[in-house]
Amino acid sequence: MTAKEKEKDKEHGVLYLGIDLGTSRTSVCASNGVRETISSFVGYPKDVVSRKLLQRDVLFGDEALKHRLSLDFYRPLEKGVIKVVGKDTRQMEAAQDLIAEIIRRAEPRSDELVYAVIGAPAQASIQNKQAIIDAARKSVDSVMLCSEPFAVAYGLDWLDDVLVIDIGAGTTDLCRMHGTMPEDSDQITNTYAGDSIDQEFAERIKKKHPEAQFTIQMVKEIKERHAAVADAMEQCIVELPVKGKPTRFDLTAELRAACRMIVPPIVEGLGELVATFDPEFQKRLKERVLLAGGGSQIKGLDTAIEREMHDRLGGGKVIRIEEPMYGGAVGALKVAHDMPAEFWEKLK
Amino acid sequence: MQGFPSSESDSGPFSPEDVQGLIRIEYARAARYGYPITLMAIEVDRLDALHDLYGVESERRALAAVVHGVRSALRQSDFLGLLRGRRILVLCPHAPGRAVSAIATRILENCHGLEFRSDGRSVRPTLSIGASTLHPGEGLAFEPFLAAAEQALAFAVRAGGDHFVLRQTAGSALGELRRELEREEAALRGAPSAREPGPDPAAPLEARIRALFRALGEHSAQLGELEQEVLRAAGEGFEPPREQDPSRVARQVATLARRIRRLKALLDATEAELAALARRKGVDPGVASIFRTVQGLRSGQEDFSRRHGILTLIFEANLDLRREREDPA
Repeated sequence: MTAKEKEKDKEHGVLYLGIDLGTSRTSVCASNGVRETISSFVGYPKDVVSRKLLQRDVLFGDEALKHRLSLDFYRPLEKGVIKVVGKDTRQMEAAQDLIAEIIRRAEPRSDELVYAVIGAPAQASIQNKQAIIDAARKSVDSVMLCSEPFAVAYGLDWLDDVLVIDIGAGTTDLCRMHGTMPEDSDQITNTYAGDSIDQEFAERIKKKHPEAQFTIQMVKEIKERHAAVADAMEQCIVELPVKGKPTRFDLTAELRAACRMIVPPIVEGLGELVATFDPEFQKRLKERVLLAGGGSQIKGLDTAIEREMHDRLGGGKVIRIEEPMYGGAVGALKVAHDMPAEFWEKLK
Repeated sequence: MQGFPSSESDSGPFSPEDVQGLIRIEYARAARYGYPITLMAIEVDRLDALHDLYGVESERRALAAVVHGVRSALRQSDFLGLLRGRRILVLCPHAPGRAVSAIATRILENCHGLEFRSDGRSVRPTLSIGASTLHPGEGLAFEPFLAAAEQALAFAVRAGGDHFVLRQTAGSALGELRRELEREEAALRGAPSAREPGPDPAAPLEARIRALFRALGEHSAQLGELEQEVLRAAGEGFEPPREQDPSRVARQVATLARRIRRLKALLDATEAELAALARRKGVDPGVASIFRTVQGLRSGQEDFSRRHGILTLIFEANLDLRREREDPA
């Protein structure tokens, strides 16, 4: 079948995809009702033996993580963008495979056009944005990028005087919405995010319990289960091996301190965005702060940010979005749905 | 073929391969002379468990009792054979769907009465029966005919056993529908027409049928013919009523409603057939989007111009990105 025939054949439906391509997790929401999320890990069997054992040429997500010792293992995104290391194309290939997999999981039909909007970090470089588009182009008919925090706000119809905090694994994006498309000066990205919490937490454990044996992945799992910033948080008691013997440790204080580390830079960024806004609307802006992304699941984070805003900015109100895992993907899907047909056509 | 060996332990001349060969011959004869035939595949439920619990002797006794029970429920003209894997095949010539249901019910009832003792315990075997029917002129090849019976048997087993399932292929469902439509058309013929033709009510249904078939991509000539037949049947089903007499109109409405139900069943069967074919081909059909056309903002929508402006900016940023990629200079 020629390309033209294929094109003609694809006139029986339009599948919109909203994709949140994250350092830690990649999520998709599709106009056929499918919602999927996978850890952003890709692995290729190291040799013939492992390929035979795993019976696949490529593994994704938690399955790749589980078998990582038998795999050439990649985490193709770093700080929200595709790692591009010199002329090494393997990370790029892994990113392409990851995007193809998340699109496959949206279960598109072969006779449908697939139009995707992918959320990219607010301040991703042009090179990085092009890398994401290149990775996606193989799997969709037309693709666009939009700022991740903008997508979150668009999905919730909060377009006027809103501050969005999108805490991912690699970056925390702050975005000021004022009724139009945010410009560069409306967006701030910092790297105090999930991964930096993991690092800080690991260092604190090492310092207090040098005998404990753990990996960064174990630390991440503990954080995802217990993360909180409140003074009266639930105790974080876990078992870690000491010379091979499982031993119980109370890591409550270490985890709380590591999680709290991201609050001051966030509020500092919010302060910058508020201070450079029309003074007449600054108060309203502070009262409308949206907390999104995987990091927003840290218990008590909204209250901690409010408290810090009160100290530094004289007050503020933080609202946590209902679906931290899918907020970006839902917004991207809405952007895709609203985008006029001629725009999609031109980008084919 | 009468006097067919009832089991492999009989000293009859037919091997399991011969059984299939003879059924194939009968199938060819039915196709040549144009009479309906039905193939039933029968399994004793949980026979493996019976073997494990009570031993091979009990299994043999159960199987022999069942074969006897099945044979006594059949007509003189029906054929019975036992294949390896302890599967019973029954071929019923001149047996359309309804007759087969009666035969299958008789077999199940006969089997309910069976009981034998093993190691002092009472054992009551039950059966699962799957059947497929070939109507004259359907032109179905033997393998799909056999596969349909096997598939029906699998449904019956999955339903928990002690069950009969008649698997209608899309072709046979279509055949029945065509015959019914012909009967009803004949009954309605002659009524004077008093209505202006309105918009074609069959159009959405036709579109759905075409979409269904297109979803499979390239398909065989046989599927192409099937598509045409389905479309024809759908078109015939929507002929406008010809008179205004209320009772006649009501009758016609009821007839049309019945036809729509039949067409829906036919479409479902076709859809299932296509899905099965896609599975065999290893094609994942996917989940259909709820949108048939590109959406975009509606001009009457609240704050349309502002949203359109924002989306235009997103588009332009992406267009710039593309230009830079294509021409970095």
